[in-house]
Amino acid sequence: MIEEINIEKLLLEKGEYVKEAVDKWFEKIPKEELDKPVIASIGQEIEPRIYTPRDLYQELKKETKEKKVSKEKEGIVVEIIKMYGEVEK
Amino acid sequence: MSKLDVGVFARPDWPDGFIFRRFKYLMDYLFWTGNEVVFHARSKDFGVHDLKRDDAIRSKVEDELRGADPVFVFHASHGGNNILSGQGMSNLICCPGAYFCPEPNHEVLSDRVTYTLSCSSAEELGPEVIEANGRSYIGYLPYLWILVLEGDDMDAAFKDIWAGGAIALIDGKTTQEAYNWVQRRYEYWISYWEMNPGWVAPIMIWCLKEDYKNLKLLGKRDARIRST
Repeated sequence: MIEEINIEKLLLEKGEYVKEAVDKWFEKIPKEELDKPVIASIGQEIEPRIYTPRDLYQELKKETKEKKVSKEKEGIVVEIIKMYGEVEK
Repeated sequence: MSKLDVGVFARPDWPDGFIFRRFKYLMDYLFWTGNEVVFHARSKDFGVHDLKRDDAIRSKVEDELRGADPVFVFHASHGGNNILSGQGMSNLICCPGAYFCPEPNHEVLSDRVTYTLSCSSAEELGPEVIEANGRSYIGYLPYLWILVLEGDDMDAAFKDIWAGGAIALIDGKTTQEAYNWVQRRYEYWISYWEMNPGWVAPIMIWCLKEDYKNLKLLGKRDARIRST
């Protein structure tokens, strides 16, 4: 079991490392998948919340740059770091 | 007393948001899941009142609930804190709360077991239904996420989990047992994806973990919808 990652702390101490992991994840996505829906939530909004990999990447890139990842997205960043940032942790 | 072995299945399906994967729209994924539940219910001699698409509206659901008086209500559509949506995002069942609810009708879920695949309704609607003597309410808070890539271990994994909870109830499990079953399936798929690295894995694991965390069981934990 991998120890849970504290994103807030990691961003403050190793912001570049988080950014590199997110970039590395994005590079692995096949080009033809970048602009197709990948996840959605079934909420009450008039327009359903549907994200493409590019949507996710752009939000994560912006939030990691600002060193402030939303609670909702923290989980994705944690999973990306486990998969693409583990060696350097 | 509501009738055991009978259920109302409220299953809207309209062009809500483009997906263009296995299905064209997001709602189609929920409809697909519901098909499996209804198919299973019929195969187990469970009384099915299937309100699909244009029949999944407030007046028809209320009529079926009052007429057939079923113990079980299955719903798969968009939802909010105090609302379950029907066809075309119409107001199907609601109680006073975050979203506009001019005519609360949540008491139609009194004395019933509700299983809903929707966002957020375990926030306000679920507790109000239990307060109004609902037996049990299984829903999500805040969000219900799906990964829409096509594959047995991707979109179909969500169908497996979501349909499976309702099927467990139809097979005679208690609400607690059905809830546990759903949790175990989330855990299974999380473990599976932790061992299958690739660009999809972080998103899939995140969706599964969010849904796992957001799954709620309110009310009675020993309620059943079968007589035997």
